[in-house]
This record gives sequence, structure tokens and C-alpha cells, in this order.
Amino acid sequence: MTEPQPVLSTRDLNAWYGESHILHGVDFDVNRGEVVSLLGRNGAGKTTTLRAIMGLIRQRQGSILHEGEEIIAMKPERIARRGIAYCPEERGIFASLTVEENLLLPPAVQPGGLELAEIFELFPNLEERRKGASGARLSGGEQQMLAIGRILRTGAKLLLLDEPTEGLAPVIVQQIGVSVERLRERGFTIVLVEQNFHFAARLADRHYVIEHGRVVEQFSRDDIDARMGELYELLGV
Amino acid sequence: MQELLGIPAPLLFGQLLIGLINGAFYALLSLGLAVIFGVLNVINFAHGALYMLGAFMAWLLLTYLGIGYWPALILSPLIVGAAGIVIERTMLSRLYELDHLYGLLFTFGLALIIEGTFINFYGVSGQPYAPPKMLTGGYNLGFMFLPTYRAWVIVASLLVCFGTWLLIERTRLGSYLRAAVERPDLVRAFGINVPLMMTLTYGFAVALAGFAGVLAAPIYTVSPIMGQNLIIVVFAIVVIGGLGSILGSIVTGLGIGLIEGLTRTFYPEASSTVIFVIMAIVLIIRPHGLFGRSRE
Repeated sequence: MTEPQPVLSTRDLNAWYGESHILHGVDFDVNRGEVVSLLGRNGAGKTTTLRAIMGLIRQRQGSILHEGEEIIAMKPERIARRGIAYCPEERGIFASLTVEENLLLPPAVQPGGLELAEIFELFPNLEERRKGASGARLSGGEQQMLAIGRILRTGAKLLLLDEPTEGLAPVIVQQIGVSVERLRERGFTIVLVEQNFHFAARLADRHYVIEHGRVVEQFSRDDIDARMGELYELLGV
Repeated sequence: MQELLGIPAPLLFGQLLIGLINGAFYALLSLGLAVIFGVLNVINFAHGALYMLGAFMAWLLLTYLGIGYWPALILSPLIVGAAGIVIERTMLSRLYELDHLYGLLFTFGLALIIEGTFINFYGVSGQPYAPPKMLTGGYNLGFMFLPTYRAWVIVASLLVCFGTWLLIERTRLGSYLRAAVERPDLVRAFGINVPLMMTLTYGFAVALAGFAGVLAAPIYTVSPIMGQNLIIVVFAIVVIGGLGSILGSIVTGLGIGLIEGLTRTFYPEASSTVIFVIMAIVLIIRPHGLFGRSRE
């Protein structure tokens, strides 16, 4: 039997912001149905990796294969239409849109997206706040739920989540953890960028550690306990 | 004769009507400028020239092809909109990566070229354009005489302004536009073709200017410099209303027209400066404009 083809794989991915060279060859694979985390210290290049995959960084080189097809030269709107959805670190809730408009903003790109009722089941708070006049009036946790909820409608099967727990209260972090777990059960493939190692350790099947724009180490869920010391050193926890 | 505040009523209402007419044009033009600024981040100095182009297209269609007012009211904005799409696609879109100033300089240069070309062929004296037969004459309202064509201009421009506001504030497409004003990159990452949206926005907004030009043709003479006279005031209105605010530019446009009319009645010497005095005061008290939000 041949190895199943990864949903996403990057090879020698380089990216620049103007003059500064941020990614120096990031290699990683994500298999169908996996939750993969990208760990690393601040400024290691995790967010840049996600933005490069999404086509949001103009200067990029190397290879990004999605479902076996090269997407490195594609524009963001085409990449999104392939079924990749992105939830940015700052959540990207639009202040000039109502809560409902925010939720309905991303167009469906593929069949099989979640129904609104299913999204509200995952994030009951959103249903209560649905009639809100502006997305900006929501609390941080609600904004995060909205940011994740709205991309579930689109039918995208590969989700790129950038620090979904940043700045949130522990109880909300836990709720988001449960949702990610349930999304995995539903067959979503998820790339998770995290500073919160304990959150990622519980959820992800595999972890890549990024340092200075390169993948320096890889751990699987089973490795973690045995190699905890090594990991802590890499992350400076 | 009836008097109000020591002014004969027909004179007062006559000036208010002129103010409202001017305000209708201010609203249509500043609305377009506000939309362009919001979505493209460009200060479109060519707006006045494209308004002039709209009026001239109506005149050219009539003079050379015998096409009358009503078809021109549709055709002329379409032609101006198409010109806008070509301008955005081939030239303006190359400047987005650069400083704001390049867009401003480019559109300013473009305005000079368009206006210069028309001055070369038609001179500055202006061409008459008769209103359609259906809209000649007027109504005696008792306190004043209301020419039918002017009533039509006010109604038509209010309808178009309100329609545009509905489109932007109340529709799915409008929510894409508003989102793209805030975070174009993220909207693209949702699979929405933002560059295409920017092109169409520019085309639509300059088509509004073209529409205003056709409406204006029977009121003012059709002249290559008709846009220059208006555009400075319209920029002041956009600043007063708040850059990028749709509702702000409509309300401010009409309001400033009325204030201008009132000033012309009570203190004519100040009628052309009152707008800039208001602009200065607004800039001191509310730098983001009456309806504006601060942008980082």
C-alpha cells in the first residue's frame, strides 16, 4: 500500500517581508484528518508560514502542495477557493459589519460546509450575540468563536488557525479546545499555530517546532511525554 | 409680498432651491469620492473631469448621433464607467503598492489631460444642452416657482444616493465592500476577488459622476471646466463628512448646498467661503469628519 498523499506539504518554503527574510526553508506535511501544530517562540515564523500558505505574502519561494497541486504562485482568492480557510491571529472581525454579516461574510467555496445551526451548537454564545450591531462589540472570546465559526460555513476542509487561544480566559480556551476536538471528529484537517503549548499538546497529533524560519524538530503525540525536556528547551517554556 | 426674516419669501426659497440642487450634485460626487477612497484608498482628483466627461458625452451623443436625454442618462454613465474601469485596470491599480500621493498625483494629471483635451477641441465657453421636453415648465407652489427639471434632478440624485447607500450598507455585496475597506487581505483569503471588486467600485463611482454630469448638463452649460469649479467644494464636503463615510458624504453634500444657499441670501459675500470656514471648524473639532471613523 502506498502512503496516502498529504493534504498539504511545504518544501523549502521561503518568505520575505520587504528586505527581511523571515522563512528560510520550512518543510512540513499535514495528512488528511490530522491536527498539526506549529510551535515556536515569538517571531519564529509561525504566522508567516500560515500567511505564506494563504498567499498573503507576495515574496515567497519554494513549494506548497495542496492536494498534490502547486499553489505557491496562486493568488489568495484562488487558494481559498480550493478549500483552505484561514483564521488570523488578530481574529479579523470587521467592525463595520454586524455580527451576522461577519458570520455570513466568507462565501461557500465547496459543498459540505456546516449549517448555521451546527455552528451555533459548537459556539452557543454566537447565537445569543447574532443580532449584535457590530462585530467589534463582542468580547475577545466571542470574537474568536466568530472568527472560527464563520470559516466553518465555507465548506473548506483544511483550516489554518493562528493562535486561537491568545489572550483568552482559561474557560474560553477550554471551550475552543473542545470545538477543535469536535472539528477533528468531523473530518477537518487543522493546522494550529500556538504559543500555548499545553493547549496544542492536548489537541495535536503531531507538532513541528519552528525556529528562525525553519522547522527544527518534529514530535508526535506519543513522543511528547518522553521528550518533554527537549521540547521545553526548544520553546523556552 | 410675503416676507421671512426680512427677506422676500420667493427669494429665500429660490436660493434654498439652488442650494438643494447644488447639494444634490455635491452628494452624488462626494459619495463617489468617499466610496473610491474607502475601497481603493485613492483620492480621486479625476472625479470632476469624469463628471464633465459625463455631461460632454450627453452633449456629443445628442449633437453627433441625435441620441436624446433619456438614453444619454443611461449611456453616458456607462461610457464614463467603462473609461473608469480601463483607467483603474491599466494605470491606477499599479500604484496601490506605493504611497497615497502617487494615486493623487496620477488622478490629478489625468484630470488635466482630460480637461485639456476637451478645451482643445471645444474651448471653455460651454455648449447649451436643452432639458427634455417632458421636464420643461414648472409648478407654481404659491410661495415660489419650481422648475420641473430641477425637481427631477433633486429626486433622481436622492434616489441614486439612497440606492447606493442601500447597496453598500444592506446587501451581501456591500458587506464584502465594507469588509474590504477594513482588511482587503483577509477578504481575499476568504476567496473574494478583491482586485476585481476594486475595479468595479472605481467604475461604479465614476459612473455616478458621469450620471451627475448628465443631470447637470441642462442646468449648467456643458463646458470642459465645469468639473473644476465643483470638485474643490466636493473635496471640502468629503473632508467635512468624514473620508470614506457614505452616509456622511450624502448628508453633508445636501446640507452644505443648503447652507450655501442660505448664506447667499443673508450674506452673499461669504457664500463661496462659508464651506471652507465650516471645513476648518470641523477639522479643528472633529478631525475625522462629522461621520468619519478614525483609520490607523
